[in-house]
Amino acid sequence: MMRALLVDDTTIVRESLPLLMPSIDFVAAYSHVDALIAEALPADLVVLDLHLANTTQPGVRQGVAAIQALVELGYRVCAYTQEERRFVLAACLAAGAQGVVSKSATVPATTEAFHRVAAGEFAIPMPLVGLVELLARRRSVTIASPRQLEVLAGRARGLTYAELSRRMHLSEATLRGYWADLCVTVSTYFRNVSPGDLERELGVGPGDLVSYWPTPGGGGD
Amino acid sequence: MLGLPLTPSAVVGAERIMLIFACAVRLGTLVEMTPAAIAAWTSPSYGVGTAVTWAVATAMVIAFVVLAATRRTLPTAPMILLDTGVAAALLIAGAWTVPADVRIGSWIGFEPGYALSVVISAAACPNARAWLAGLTMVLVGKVVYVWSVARLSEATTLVGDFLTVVVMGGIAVLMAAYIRGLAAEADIARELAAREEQRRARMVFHNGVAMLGLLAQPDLDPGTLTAARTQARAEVYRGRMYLSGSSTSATAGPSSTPLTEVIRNAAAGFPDLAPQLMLDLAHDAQVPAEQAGPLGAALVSLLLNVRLHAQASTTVIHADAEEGRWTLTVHDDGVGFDPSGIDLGVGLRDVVTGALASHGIRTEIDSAAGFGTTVTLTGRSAP
Repeated sequence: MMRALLVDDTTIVRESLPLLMPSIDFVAAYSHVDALIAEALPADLVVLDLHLANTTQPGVRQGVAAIQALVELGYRVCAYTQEERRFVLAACLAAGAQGVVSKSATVPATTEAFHRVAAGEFAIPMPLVGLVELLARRRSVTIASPRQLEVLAGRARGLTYAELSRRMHLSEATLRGYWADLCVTVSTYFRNVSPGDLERELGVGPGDLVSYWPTPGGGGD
Repeated sequence: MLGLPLTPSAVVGAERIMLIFACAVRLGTLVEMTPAAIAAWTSPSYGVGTAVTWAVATAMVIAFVVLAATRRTLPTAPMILLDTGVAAALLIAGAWTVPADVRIGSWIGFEPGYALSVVISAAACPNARAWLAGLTMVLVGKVVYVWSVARLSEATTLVGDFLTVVVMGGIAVLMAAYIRGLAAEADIARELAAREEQRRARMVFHNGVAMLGLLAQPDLDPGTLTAARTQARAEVYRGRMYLSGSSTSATAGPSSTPLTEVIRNAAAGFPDLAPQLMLDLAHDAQVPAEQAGPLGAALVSLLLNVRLHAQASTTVIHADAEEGRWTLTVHDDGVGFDPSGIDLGVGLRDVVTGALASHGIRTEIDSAAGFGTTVTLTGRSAP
């Protein structure tokens, strides 16, 4: 059974998620990252809420800084958040997270995403898929394979692997392979792009992303 | 004919008018034949033959008018053949019953004038072959009628007399065909107009009826109820505009609308579906203002279909724009359907496919049972 660690400042989430996802063995649950790091239990995945600071634990590490700290320890991280701003979600991938899952997703969809990230796949949320499509159109992200572009276009339009398989006459496993390769490309792009370049691509104001973007050695918020 | 129930057709009206014209021609000729009757009555030199032929011609005129008044339909081919055959027979008989000195240029010799009126009235018959056969019989009769009195010095008069029958009859046939064609076109135009009005009514009320159906559900969750009420108010406005005879499409204001605005406005009424809007690739695309209304209505109709039928967990609206064209897809991961196996409903057929096609927007539906549904709309961007 897949072993996971959970970090969320909301008690109800920490206590309910193991009950809702019996296929995952939640070894331990913490209210902040430093508690997890202190124990450093082995796990296939860390499920991490992005916003951890509250009145009972002000000033704890959170956001991209928390992701970076966990990734540096060798953990595979999946952000589990209500955050919807695309550049914040992109910052999570830039910080090394392997997946971002919205708390509004259904329990089955969330469970499946956790399993896939634990198995080494990427979980990129739909708003980011649209952003990647835009970056590919502008040739900021270089996607060499036409098949990968087809898969990206299909995913951006909401098509499932089963539907893509029917349309492209390829097996779902092959399509997942294309998607995995594409995700590596995207993840590499986000890790290497500067906030200024991304600001220009997104058309946001200069300096708007800096405070959210990870810095080498940990930083951001 | 397209088969819609309508007020009496223009073709029927045109046939009645042609029938009245034919009767008027025949009755007018009967009046002009009066000198022959007087001559037969007052002058023994014309004999019984003139009286008999006059009586036969009069009986034919009366029979024609009575049949027209009772049947109220155009004469049939057998009737025309009988009518023209009698006229030809009267012409042949005239060679013996009409004295040579009054055979040409006199209404005592009424047969040529009578035959002309028969040929003209026969033009009302839609059977051209019957008319041509009748014309031939009359022309043969005329040859016999003038044969014994024809002189070279009167050749032009005789030729003119023959041509009068052919030309006048031909004009009558052409006029009848023209009127008949005009009336048929008017009927088709009227039916098409009625169909267009039905289509407009379906377009205006389809989404509203779907909203009523939704609002009538007793177990509607509060979120959907609020969204449905907001949408219902918009549909009430559209319905009132239609009922008052006002246009429901944009007629003033800017010449184009951002595609993303049309999509966001349509999606705003479906918070229960929470459609994911992937609009990055079309953030600059504009649609002509006259397309914005139908496109918005089509999107609402598509999302209503998802809400009512798809049982979907995810709905994605994606827009793309490149090289002067935009493409919009509405995808749901619901139960899907076999598009070839069912008749599309009013929503997909009229509000989406039909209405958008009339604005130059192409619709493609891709679905299969168990594989969700993707509807792709493609149009030209406004400059």
